[in-house]
Amino acid sequence: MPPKSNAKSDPESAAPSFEAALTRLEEIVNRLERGDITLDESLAVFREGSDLVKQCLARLTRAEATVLELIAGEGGLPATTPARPGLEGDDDALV
Amino acid sequence: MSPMEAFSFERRITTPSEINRRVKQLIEGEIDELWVRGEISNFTRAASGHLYFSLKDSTAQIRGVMWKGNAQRLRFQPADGVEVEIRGKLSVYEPRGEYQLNAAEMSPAGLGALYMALEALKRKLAAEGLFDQGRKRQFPAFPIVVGLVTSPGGAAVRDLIRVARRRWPSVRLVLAPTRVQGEGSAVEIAAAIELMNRWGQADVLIIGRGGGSMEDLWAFNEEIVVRAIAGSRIPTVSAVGHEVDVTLSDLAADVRAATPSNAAELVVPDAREWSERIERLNRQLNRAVVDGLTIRRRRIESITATHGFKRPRDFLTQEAQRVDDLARRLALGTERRLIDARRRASDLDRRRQPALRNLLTRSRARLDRLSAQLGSLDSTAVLSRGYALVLRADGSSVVTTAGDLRPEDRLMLQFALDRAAVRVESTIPGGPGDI
Repeated sequence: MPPKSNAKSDPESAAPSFEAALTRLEEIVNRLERGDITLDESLAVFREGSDLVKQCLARLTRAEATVLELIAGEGGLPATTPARPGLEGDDDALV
Repeated sequence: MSPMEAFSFERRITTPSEINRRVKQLIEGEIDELWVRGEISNFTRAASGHLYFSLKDSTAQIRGVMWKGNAQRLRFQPADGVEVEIRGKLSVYEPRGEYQLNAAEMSPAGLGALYMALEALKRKLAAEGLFDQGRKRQFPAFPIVVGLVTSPGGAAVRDLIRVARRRWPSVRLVLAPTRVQGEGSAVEIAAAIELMNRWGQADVLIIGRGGGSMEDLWAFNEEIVVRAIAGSRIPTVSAVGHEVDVTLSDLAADVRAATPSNAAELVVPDAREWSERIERLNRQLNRAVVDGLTIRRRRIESITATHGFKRPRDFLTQEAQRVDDLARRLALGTERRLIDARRRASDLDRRRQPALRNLLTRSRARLDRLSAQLGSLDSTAVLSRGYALVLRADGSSVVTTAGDLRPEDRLMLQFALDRAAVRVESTIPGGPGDI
């Protein structure tokens, strides 16, 4: 089954989600390649595209994986806590 | 009537064949299919694939056979000493006058009832539509938060975490810990799935455990778990580590993965693949913008070459060079930006940013001017003021002096919107006419 589109934003940052950035980048490249664009616009979208490339690559290399545990807290409300030792260990996990 | 005949009339003599046939009819006609429990002994698997054995209890035994077709569907390995439950029918092997149990189905004792209950539950839930293909949902291509419903202590959770982080280093994993086998585990699994749904921040749930025997995996066949999976608002991936048996959880989940590692691979995208794609897009981006500038440069060149506008010519060649220069510096600039981005993804090079921005601003102002000039110098603008361009009839070149022409030469006059084919009558030497 092909995964569906998920354009929602990363809840913890104002930056667009990886997928939104990627979609926009593809639009920009397509538009520049079609060539029906003024010089002014082409420079503006080029600059935007370069920023998106940088953002996307940063997103891919950022190693800040977190592992949390979800428990039923007060009144049965879901609450997250840091994962127990042995699950969050970066060194093990990234080998 | 001979004495012999009288004698035979009184004794009703039959034959072994007939007896066996009658016994066979009697047994097969009177005794319906039944379930028998007993211990296997004298087990042999014939070259033909049929199984022969005896089934015994503490005081008696009967012979049993299972034909190849049924034997191939067995989910366990029968052997001497194993206590089994067999569904079958009694039959008689006429050549030997032996009756035997013809086994259609066999399972380890105790599991038989469980399997029957499982089949019944499966039919019931299937009838409710819980396993329908039409219910299957897709999950996001780039999940930000992946929910895990499994045991915090097993190898499964560590495999999931390791594979997920290797593929997408910034993936966020949230584990709803639960026991996955033993009394009461089904209730815990269902509660963990419901907790995930109440929390609502996971994009997809992976529900499962590592491999084990069918009994170990049994919680994933329990109605409460199957209903929790089917009722989850968050898309589900089942990851019950067993290749042979498909649990009801597998049937109810949106996607079935063979193992927990496999589930992580299905759910979490591979950053390496995507960084290649991004770099490809970056190269396309650079090429497209440089190509755009090249096309504009050629337009300028073709105007200066064909139309011979003398005064602005210098200006245009100069601007063409600037476009070239800009293209080169732009390409160089982005190359550096990309290297920079890759090396220190989160740390911006603060000195280069303003420099690049200045370069772009200056270039833009210059190109804006150029665009304006191009607009005013565009040949159609000139032609619409009443001028016409004189071309060779085949359009190959512009004619700039009558000295190049001879009588009868064919020419093309290019007006702003259309053209006319003409023929030279004569040429007149001298200075510009009085128009």
